[in-house]
Amino acid sequence: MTDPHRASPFLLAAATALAAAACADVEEPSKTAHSDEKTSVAHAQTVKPGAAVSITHRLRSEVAPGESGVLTLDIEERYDGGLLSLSATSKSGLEIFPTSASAEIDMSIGDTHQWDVFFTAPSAGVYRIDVLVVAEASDGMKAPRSYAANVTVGSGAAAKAAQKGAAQSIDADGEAIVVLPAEETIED
Amino acid sequence: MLNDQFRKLLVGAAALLFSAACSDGGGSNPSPSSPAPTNAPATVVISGAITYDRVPPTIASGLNFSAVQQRAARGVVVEALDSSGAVIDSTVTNASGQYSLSTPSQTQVRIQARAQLLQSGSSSWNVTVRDNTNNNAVYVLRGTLESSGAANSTRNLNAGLGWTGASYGATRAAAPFAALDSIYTAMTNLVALSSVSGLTYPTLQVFWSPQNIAVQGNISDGEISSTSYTRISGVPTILIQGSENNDTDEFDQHVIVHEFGHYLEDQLSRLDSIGGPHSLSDRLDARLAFSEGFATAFAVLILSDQIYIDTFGPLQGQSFSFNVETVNTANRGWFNESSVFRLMYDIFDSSNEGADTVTFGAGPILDTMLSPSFTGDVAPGTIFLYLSELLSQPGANVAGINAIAANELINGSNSYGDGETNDGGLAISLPPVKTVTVGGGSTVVCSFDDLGDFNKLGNRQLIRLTVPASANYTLTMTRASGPASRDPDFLIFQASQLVAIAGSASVDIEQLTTFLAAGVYWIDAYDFGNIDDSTPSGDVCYDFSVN
Repeated sequence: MTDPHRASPFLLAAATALAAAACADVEEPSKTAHSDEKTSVAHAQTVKPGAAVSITHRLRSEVAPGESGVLTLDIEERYDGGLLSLSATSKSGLEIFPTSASAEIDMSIGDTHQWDVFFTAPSAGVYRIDVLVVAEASDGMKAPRSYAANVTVGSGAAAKAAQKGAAQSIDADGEAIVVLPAEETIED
Repeated sequence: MLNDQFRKLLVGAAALLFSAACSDGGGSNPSPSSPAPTNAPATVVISGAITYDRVPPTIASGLNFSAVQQRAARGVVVEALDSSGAVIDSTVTNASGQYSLSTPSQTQVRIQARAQLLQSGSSSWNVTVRDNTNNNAVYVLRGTLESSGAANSTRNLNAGLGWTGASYGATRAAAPFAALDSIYTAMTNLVALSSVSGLTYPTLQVFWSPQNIAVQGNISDGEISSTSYTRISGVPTILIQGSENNDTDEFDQHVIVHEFGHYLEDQLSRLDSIGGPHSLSDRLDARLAFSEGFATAFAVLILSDQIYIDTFGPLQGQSFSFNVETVNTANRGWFNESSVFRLMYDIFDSSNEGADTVTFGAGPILDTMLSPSFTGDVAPGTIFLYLSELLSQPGANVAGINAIAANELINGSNSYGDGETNDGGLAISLPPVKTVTVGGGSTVVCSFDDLGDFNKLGNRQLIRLTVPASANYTLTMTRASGPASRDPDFLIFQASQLVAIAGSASVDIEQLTTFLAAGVYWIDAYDFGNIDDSTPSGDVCYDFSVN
């Protein structure tokens, strides 16, 4: 049922916390976890408040350039009712079919939902589909949860199409910097 | 980095000394290309202000791009660079964003503001905003290379918004400085509001990029999961979303200060939270509920603004907002973050209504978080521990604070919440912290998935353990009821420190023999399927024993 080699974010956090605890003022505790534990290296990550919604995604099948693909979003919400508004966009050359770029789901009908996003891309690569989910509870309160999914079109060898940041420079001390142009006024 | 800055200051001073030493006694220091008048001084002062564009958020309609304000970039590092990029002089802007630098006269100089807050002294900090999609390069706002002239002059630099009417069509220079200024507000206001003198803030890095979006993945590709706080390679890090038309947070002060609140917990107090997604009405793990509620209360106290706003959406035109005092959410209790921030705000504020008859101010609320008795207490970090510490603060109105807690349906006593009667609709959640006794038989602990997974109420059970004498002990967690072939795990903590992990993949049993010094511990026990997305969840109970 469990894969001992699979990483768990929480155990990752725990393992790191344990490492940190090596410096703590604790008298001789065991700091050795089981050898087959599900370990990793990340610290616990807080998340900003948002909608009571959990999202995962899957690609229905492999997609070739020029073909249409389907990204299925599995959405689990924890509301008694209200409306869930979903929208999908892409900035990286992937086209989302307009009819599937947005949807609304009645949250009074069950608490797990599926949403299919149809798309196509002219060339192979890894593209990102940005998703914005807004849950409007029965009392009218809105809360968002943003999400994104990477989809591969064509050969897996295609380079990832992640957008890169602004041009990077090195300053006189060898430190990497991103130069932002100032709006400057000079007065003698 | 701190040393780098001091080194640059020294380099600047040395350059000035060299400049003075090489002057002809008449004060001139001509550049090769532009001979100075004989009456020019050796050095001149370039002064001015560093500002950035801030877009105010609205309660319902996102950012208001028609009301952009130019704000002082406070406490940021400003440098004068020569034509080779070497630092001639360096300083930090004052609370009005003003700076003053000395440079050789008649020399090609540019002014540069780093997205960095730097202060030494009784309260100290070093905060830098970096581009995580660009090798963690630091953002710098750079002016033009111009002659310093023969007399003092003024150069004002503004970090522009980059908004071109319907999109960010130009460089978003303001963003790193807006984020930085929210953190400056948090640090300086915490120093002012708390009675703790001399706060030393450990180095903090802030990752912001226009590519940053809420997907879990590679941070160097902008996949930061959420605007959040964590440690990356041990370095405290706030990550901020910046993806246009989806969710940008650089101007959402409450969001940034909320995450700074988690940094405060982690670095200056205690952070027992397990993190992960949450909402205002969720029934959560008690540690998460406390941490998130505190972070929101911290934001509104620090910003003196009780309306939390998080903008998002196409054209940054929507808002998630709520008034921390009046927001009415479901599921009040010790497991709900809204109950925690409402409770803290009612204890703080001077507006008394209903069950709220208390005006305690921000000081005691913040002092409690920073007090060694809170950070070092042997109980887990929940609202119960916090309240027990707050009630011991000088001048605490015990009856009044208890009445506010009762209004939030929080009625447990002591730092463990003993006697609590609000189970949040999940009977296994009580008591909030169970007890296991060495050699005293087993205690039943359950892990349910009824309210969600990973960090929701019922996924985990907290257990207190008093170790009477230093020795080796065997802790055993065995499935007692529910579906078979499960994977129980547990973690052992002393105060806020993790001291042992029992996280094997053994089926239906987890056992750990370990040395434990005499003292009080708490244990986080759970079914792995209920905290892991890719493993089937379920409702399982276990017998937990220590021998």
